[in-house]
Order: sequence, then C-alpha cells, then structure tokens
Amino acid sequence: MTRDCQQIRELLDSFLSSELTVETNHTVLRHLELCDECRGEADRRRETRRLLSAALKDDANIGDVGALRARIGAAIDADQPRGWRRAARYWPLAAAIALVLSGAMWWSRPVDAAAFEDSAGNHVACALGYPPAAYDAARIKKLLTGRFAGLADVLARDYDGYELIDAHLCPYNGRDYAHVIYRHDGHLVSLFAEPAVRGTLPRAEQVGTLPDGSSPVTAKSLHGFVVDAAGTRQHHLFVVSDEQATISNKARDGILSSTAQFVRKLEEQ
Amino acid sequence: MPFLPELLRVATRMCGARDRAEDLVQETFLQAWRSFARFQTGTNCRAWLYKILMFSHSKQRRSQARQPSLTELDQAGEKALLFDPPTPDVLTTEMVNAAFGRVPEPFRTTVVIVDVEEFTYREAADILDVPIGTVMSRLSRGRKLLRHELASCAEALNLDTRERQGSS
Repeated sequence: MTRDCQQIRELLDSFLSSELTVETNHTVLRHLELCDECRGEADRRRETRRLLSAALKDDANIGDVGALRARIGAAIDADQPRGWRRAARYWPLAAAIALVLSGAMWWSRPVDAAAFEDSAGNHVACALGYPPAAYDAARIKKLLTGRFAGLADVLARDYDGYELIDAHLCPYNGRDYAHVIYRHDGHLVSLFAEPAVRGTLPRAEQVGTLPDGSSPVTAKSLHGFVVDAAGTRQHHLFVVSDEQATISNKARDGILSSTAQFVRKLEEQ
Repeated sequence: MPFLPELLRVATRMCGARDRAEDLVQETFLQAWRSFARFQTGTNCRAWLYKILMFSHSKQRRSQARQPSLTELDQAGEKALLFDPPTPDVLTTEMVNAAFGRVPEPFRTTVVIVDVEEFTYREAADILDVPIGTVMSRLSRGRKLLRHELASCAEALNLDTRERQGSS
C-alpha cells in the first residue's frame, strides 16, 4: 500500500458518507479510479454498512408495536390536564385537532433550499473540470454503482443530438448524486439524480411537464447556468446546462423522463 | 406516531433489553408531546425525535449510574488508533451484527446515527449534543473498531485476510 493509499483510506469513510469537501472528494474519486486495492476496500466498507443497516433495520426483530403505541397514547392522554381530557372525549373536537396537526405536519415538511444551487455547483466542480472522455460502457459500469447502477443502461446514448459521454457517482456537499454527462456542440450538460432526503424541491418557475404528465418541470437560472428540475416520490432530478446554450426541451424531457422511470422502479422495490 | 418502529429499533440497540427500550421510547414521545410548542416548523422532525431519544437515554443512564468507565473507552480508542485493518473479503449479516455488538458505547450509537440512520455529521452533533469534532472522532474510532472486530471474526472463521494485508 502506498502513502497515497494510506491517506485515501483515512478519508474513505467520510467519502462514503458524502462528508468531504468537493476538492477532497474528487481527489478520492480520481484515486479510486486508478487503484484496484482501494476501490475494493471502498466496496467492502460500503457492503459492511449495507449489512449493518440490514441487520439493525430488520423490522422482524422489533415485532408488533401496536401495544406500545397504545401504551404511549394512554400515557400522553394521562399527561393532559383533566379539563382537556374531558373535552377530548368529544370526537368532533378530536377530529379537528387531528386535522390541524396533520396540516401542521404537511406545512412543516422541510424544503431543500439548496437543491438548485448545489446542482449548478457540482456541474461547475465536476462536469466542467472533467477530462475529455469518450463513452466507455465498462468505465461507467465501474463508477456508477450502488442504487444507481444500471441508470446509464436505460438512458439513450443520444437525445436530440446530445451525446452521452460519461456517468459516475458524484457526492457533493453531503448529497449522493448520480451524475451523467452529455455533450452537444462542445457544451456539457449534466444530469443529476439524488434521493430526496432533505425535503421538497424549492419553488421555481414551471417550464414544462414530463411527457407522461407525472411531474412538473421547473427551472431556475443560477450563475450563468439553467437548472431544470423534476421530482418523483423519493428522488429529485436536475438537468444543468449553460445559459448561453440551453438544452433543447426535447433532449431535457427525454433525459428526465428516462431517469424518472428508472428511479420509480427503485421506489417500488 | 411517526418513526415509532425506527426509534424502538435504535432504543433496543442502545438499551439491550426490549422492556427498557419501550420505556425509553415512551418517555421520548411523552417529552415530545410536552415540548411540541418548542418544535420549530420547517426543521427535521425525525432529527428532533432522535435528539429527545438521546437526551432521555443519557438522563436514564445518569439516574442508573451506569456510565461506562473511562478506562474502557480509552483502551478501545487506543486499540483502534494503532492499526486500521482492511475489511475482510467475505462478510455476512451475522458476522457484521456480532462484530458491531462488541463495539463499545459511545462509538456504537454514533455509528448507528450516521452509518445506519444516515444523518449528516452536523445533524448527529445536534442529536447527540456534542461538538461535530467529537462526532467525527467517535465515528473514526467506532468504524476502525468495527473493522478490528470483523477481522477477528474472519480470523475465527478462517477467512484469512493476512495475504491481502501483506500485499497491500
């Protein structure tokens, strides 16, 4: 193991948690691309986490929580002031409270305020600094792993003249992006797909709808780039293109639509 | 009651016994109910419940005077810092579960919060009410300790990793 390998292994766990800075993250990615040993170690650590999650998140170990739910409900009920407890016996009032609470929970859903900003940021940090690459299916298979393995297989090699050149996992600012890069007439376009774990997409101008009508496509202009976004139940999808060479609607809708179909299948599993 | 099975799972892992875990989760929801007015709309409800769970757990432990000894933590930490073994090639759920069971607190809970429940380092710091540096240090030690235990398991099962260590 080289000194480089030792340093990279110190960073591997934070890399897997998407907690590295953009620069360090890309240093690790570049090393993993070249070093079989460290890539193997990264895969084994990823597998360790998967098995640990599987073991600890096995609901069979927990069994029925119905009795506990009832016990907690009774404890909360007993904790209320007596007058309030009497009033709560009247079901219309209880129903109204439930309605208000569910409304409050709906409105309290967090909004992923930096969703557009981070997509544009990663386009600049990764795609624009990317070495010129020709499409290489084996390379993509090696670098686009985990839940997004196979995404490149469902995407067309060409959408309205936009040519697929590369795809990889691309952690950025704590996000687990799958990053697919297209090129058209010398301009690079990024597709980012990520699990929607930070909240809903922020409000933006609606510029279209996915061809199957399942989701609106919204867009924002940021720092000279246009970020188009669409959401599925558990994922956010972004297409980032240069403001001076905005991606055609046909290509954008094709890319977003194929990706949405792919992530919906993941969500059904 | 949102996140009830999830909180019960984590509580069982922390308490070791189902009845104590149920008490802890009940206390968590009761505290959440009492302090619901302090919950900030727009913030992460799941992280807020975890924070209450951790607070209730440490309160429970203090009242039972069952803090782990400092010597035990120091030894565990030192052991992890000396050498970081490679992860064995062959891994099974049983092996990972058994190895993780031997990782001491507070490293174990920190690893659960970040690697299993997928909170960010900053969220974990807020949940555990410790500085983010402490989260990172506990994670580093906890993960290395887990690899030590996995290597021991692999050795016991005759899944020798020395060849790879030597060649790497």
